[in-house]
Amino acid sequence: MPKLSFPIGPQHPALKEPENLRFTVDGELVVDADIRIGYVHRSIERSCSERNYVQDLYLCERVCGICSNAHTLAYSMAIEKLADVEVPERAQYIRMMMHEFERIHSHMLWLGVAAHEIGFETLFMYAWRDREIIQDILEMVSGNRGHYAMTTLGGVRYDITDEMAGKIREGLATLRQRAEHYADIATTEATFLKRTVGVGVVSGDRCQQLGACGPVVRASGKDYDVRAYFPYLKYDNVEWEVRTSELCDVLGRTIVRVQEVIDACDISIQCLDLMPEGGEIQAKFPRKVPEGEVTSRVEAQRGELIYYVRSDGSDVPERVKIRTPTLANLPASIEMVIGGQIADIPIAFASIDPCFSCTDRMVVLDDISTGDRRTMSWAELVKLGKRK
Amino acid sequence: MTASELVEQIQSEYEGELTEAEARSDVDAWVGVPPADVQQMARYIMETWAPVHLSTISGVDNGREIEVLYHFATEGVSLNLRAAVPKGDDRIDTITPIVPAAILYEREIMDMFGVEIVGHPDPRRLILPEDWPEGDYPLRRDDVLEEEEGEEDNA
Repeated sequence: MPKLSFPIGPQHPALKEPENLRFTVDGELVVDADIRIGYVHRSIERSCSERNYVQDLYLCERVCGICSNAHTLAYSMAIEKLADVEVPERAQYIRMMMHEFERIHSHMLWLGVAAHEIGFETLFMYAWRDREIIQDILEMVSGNRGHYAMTTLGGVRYDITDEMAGKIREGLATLRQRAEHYADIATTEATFLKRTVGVGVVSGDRCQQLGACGPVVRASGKDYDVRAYFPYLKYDNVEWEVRTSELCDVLGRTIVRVQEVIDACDISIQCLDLMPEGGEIQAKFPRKVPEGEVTSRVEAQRGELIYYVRSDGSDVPERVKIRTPTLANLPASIEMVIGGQIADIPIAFASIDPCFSCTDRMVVLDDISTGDRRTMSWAELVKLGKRK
Repeated sequence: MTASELVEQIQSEYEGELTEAEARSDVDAWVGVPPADVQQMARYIMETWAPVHLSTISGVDNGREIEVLYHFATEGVSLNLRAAVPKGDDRIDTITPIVPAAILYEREIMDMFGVEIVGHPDPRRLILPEDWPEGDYPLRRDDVLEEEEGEEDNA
């Protein structure tokens, strides 16, 4: 049978974000795949070097809607390292709780999406229903269901009261129980296993070579987790372990993520127990930051997130470089679909929990008719925005 | 292993020129090599501390040069390798054959900074659109954004 190549996207009814995938198939078998990104690039790195450190905090939060807290955390940690500011202990525990809450909400969201991709709509509905528990907690603590704006330079913006702590304990207890139920479903339910076992396989060594991170590399038996490799916040003080699986397939990635939801509940409860009573939650932060360069890594829910920041001593950073987990996982995801069935493409791709808005950070405004304009002035943008 | 131990090991073992070698904290090691030696250094790093994770490659335009920064991670140490490419001769060898994880990061550097990655197996554009003009690189300093024309409120 002749080989056939076809594109999916950048605009396609099945895609939630614009990206361009090209597949070459031989019958039902995928023999080659390629990916093209950049359709939602928003120039965030460049914009960061034109705004001051506080403005950048809010800009970085908007790199991604799902892992917004991980971005502000990585960014703040970088700037605090440059300015040599110590974050109060209570604020560190609150940051850590937010970090884990975000992991819970994201993994539950992913579980729903994965269930949807394999046509298991009941699991999708249940997972998203239970996700509301953590969404309510996030809203109670920060006032928002997304873009929490909790982390600020030198600490956090809101404290956790005793009343909130009670509700958090209650909510997480229910959620933990539900997560255990999902761990059980993922490993025993026949329809789930049929669609996940042996699908999207990539070996641990190959993952490591390709620089994959997060649940993708951990589901292939490797233990790369920033929380363990470069302990930050108070991860040294709580009891937890790096979850891995030797399965190397979609099932492995599901098990690792569901297990991490359970762990995140336990870590958050430990934070509540260990948190010092009262005290400051925000340190005074200078407007200008001394000259220097730093890298800062955090384990976002999708994997390692790294920031590189260089300061020239002013109140505006000279360079902010962001590498989101999805970009690191893309080479591995290409290998996951090659050799598989066409019908398994959606779940194999979904199994890295891709986020293309994180990966792209710049928009290009083109005038297609003349082809000679590449940039637009602010005035033109405003005019365009007002056009009916 | 701490960063200072790693830097000492590089200074004693690595046969080649080092433009910098410094441990800035227990976990941060910063090492620099001339751009021509980047493959040799990458091979040395990959062989000495395997498994090594390449987190990303950053580019920085410092006015005179494009600094290419390779951020590696081994257990407990963040190893940052710097190679500064002078403007006008912006070429550097690819490390993708030695570190496969570099493939997309090197394409990003080519797109954004116009540094030619010599020997890259797949030098297509990654982020910029196909009709983006040749020789125009968004993160290079000599490519200045168009000045704002008049102040108009965005209400």
